[in-house]
Amino acid sequence: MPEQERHITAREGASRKIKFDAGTLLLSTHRLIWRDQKNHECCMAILLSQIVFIEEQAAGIGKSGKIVVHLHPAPPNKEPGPFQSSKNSYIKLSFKEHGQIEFYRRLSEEMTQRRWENMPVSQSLQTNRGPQPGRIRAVGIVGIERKLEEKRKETDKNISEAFEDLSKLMIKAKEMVELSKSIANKIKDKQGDITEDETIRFKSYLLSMGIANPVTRETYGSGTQYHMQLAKQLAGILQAPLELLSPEDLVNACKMLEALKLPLRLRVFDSGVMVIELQSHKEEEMVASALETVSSKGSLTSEESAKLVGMSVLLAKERLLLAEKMGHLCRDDSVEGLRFYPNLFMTQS
Amino acid sequence: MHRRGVGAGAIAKKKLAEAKYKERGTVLAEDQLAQMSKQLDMFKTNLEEFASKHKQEIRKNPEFRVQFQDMCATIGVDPLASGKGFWSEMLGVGDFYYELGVQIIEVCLALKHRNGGLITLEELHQQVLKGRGKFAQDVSQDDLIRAIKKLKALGTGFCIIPVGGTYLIQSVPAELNMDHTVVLQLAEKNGYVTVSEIKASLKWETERARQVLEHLLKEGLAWLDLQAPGEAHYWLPALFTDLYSQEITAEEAREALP
Repeated sequence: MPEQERHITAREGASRKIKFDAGTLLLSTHRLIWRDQKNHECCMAILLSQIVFIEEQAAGIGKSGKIVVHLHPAPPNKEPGPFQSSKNSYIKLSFKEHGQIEFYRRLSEEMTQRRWENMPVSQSLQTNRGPQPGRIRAVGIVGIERKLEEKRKETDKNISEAFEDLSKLMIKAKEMVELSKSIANKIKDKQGDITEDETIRFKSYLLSMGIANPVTRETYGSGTQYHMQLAKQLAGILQAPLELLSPEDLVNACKMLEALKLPLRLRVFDSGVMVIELQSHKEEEMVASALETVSSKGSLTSEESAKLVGMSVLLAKERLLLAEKMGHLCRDDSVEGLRFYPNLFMTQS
Repeated sequence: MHRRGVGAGAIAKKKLAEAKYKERGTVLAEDQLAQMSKQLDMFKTNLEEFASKHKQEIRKNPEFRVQFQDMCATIGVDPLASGKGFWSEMLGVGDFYYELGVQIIEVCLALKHRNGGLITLEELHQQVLKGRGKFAQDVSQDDLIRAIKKLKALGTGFCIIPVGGTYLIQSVPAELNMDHTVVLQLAEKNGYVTVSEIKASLKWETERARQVLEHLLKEGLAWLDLQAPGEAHYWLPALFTDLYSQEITAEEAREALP
């Protein structure tokens, strides 16, 4: 039944100037209607019977998918439209938010079935004309809108079934959340001994449900067996993870690296930037190396340092900042950027 | 090593604790844990049933996703927290958002040299859709925002700044305080901002306006235009595409040049 797509631009011919942006395209058994998304009073329609043929233009880089609608010459009794006349015989519909594949398919279907030949319809394009008395079938714009409304209700029904099921699911999930809070409180207050194993089990329950871990951090933080395994995978001891990870899983795994005595560790800089570095990586070496590169060039910005040493700008910046913090470098902060110099105040006093 | 010891003394102690709890009508933590385990299994079954009926809905319908996320947030559940969570494994929501996160980072990295690491949500949305190709699932701006919120777990570097009616996504750890943000919001109208404009709209002194603009310049978020009529213009490349995104044909481009 009727199909609709949003954010459609309708253009007359090949011209890029004469166009109507941001509309909704509606398809019925008789018409193709473009309606302004914001101002519903503004709409244009084309009878399907006026369409000769349609072609599809695939989306590409920088352009959205399009459907080109070629039309018969206008009949003499045609209602006035957006233009007095036009030298083109086609319009282009641009689908800014996808959807042209489906729409093309439906439009082709309607063109094949030609249902307008079997059903009478009024020629009215005015939205302010009400339904004519005596007509049994809904006709005209109002009829189309009514059919759309029916379809919307049906879709809504499917959605509401999904929502209903979702709500029931959520009620059960909420019970789990309450239960977990109660357990967590007991653990905190040390009521009722539960073993370490049970605590670990509890944490894995929380992970499965996606409940934030309220239990006070122990050595492994929010980590679970899963995170321990991930940590080992990251350190290259086990085979590399084959699936997408959640950012939080990654961070939790990294937090366990040091505790598990793996060759990598997580480091958080003052700025909040997090990095993974080798255990063997020594801060003093990093700072000494930064000082050396800066001295060799007289002065360096983060970008220059990054290029020189072959690392990301972010990391290069952190190294320079750390060296500055240790007093080996000092900064020259200007509109041209942040530049670091060896700290001669310290070395040449 | 078990905390609970065995032996007559321990058993007696436990019986005493149980009796005390029963008196006060409370339940032991172990019992609750056992209860949770059972309920968890049941929940898993319910979720599987839900997934078999409605998994497609979540994939295809951005509005349904919003509702789903909001409901989860209300009850205190984060379906995206772990790839090993039920939600992720059975509904596939995890993969959807984690993959989106990767795509967002790719777009931001690719455009960083131009806009300094600041991009409007619209442009990000367009670029991500382009990158996904026309056969991929539709993603909404809400989806992007949620994916970005998850990325924040990886440390500073991703944040969302509200400007005008939309958002700017920052993908570098540049420090932007309230002053910077408010100037960005002012610049949204025309894509650029001047010292006089700041002084007139925000009623600041020249020095304060100058400092903010210099910081934006230093961070690579603003470009200085000294050839503009009147005073210097500070352009924000992040806001460009919003204003000048109309495709121009070769003829129009030729016509436009003097």
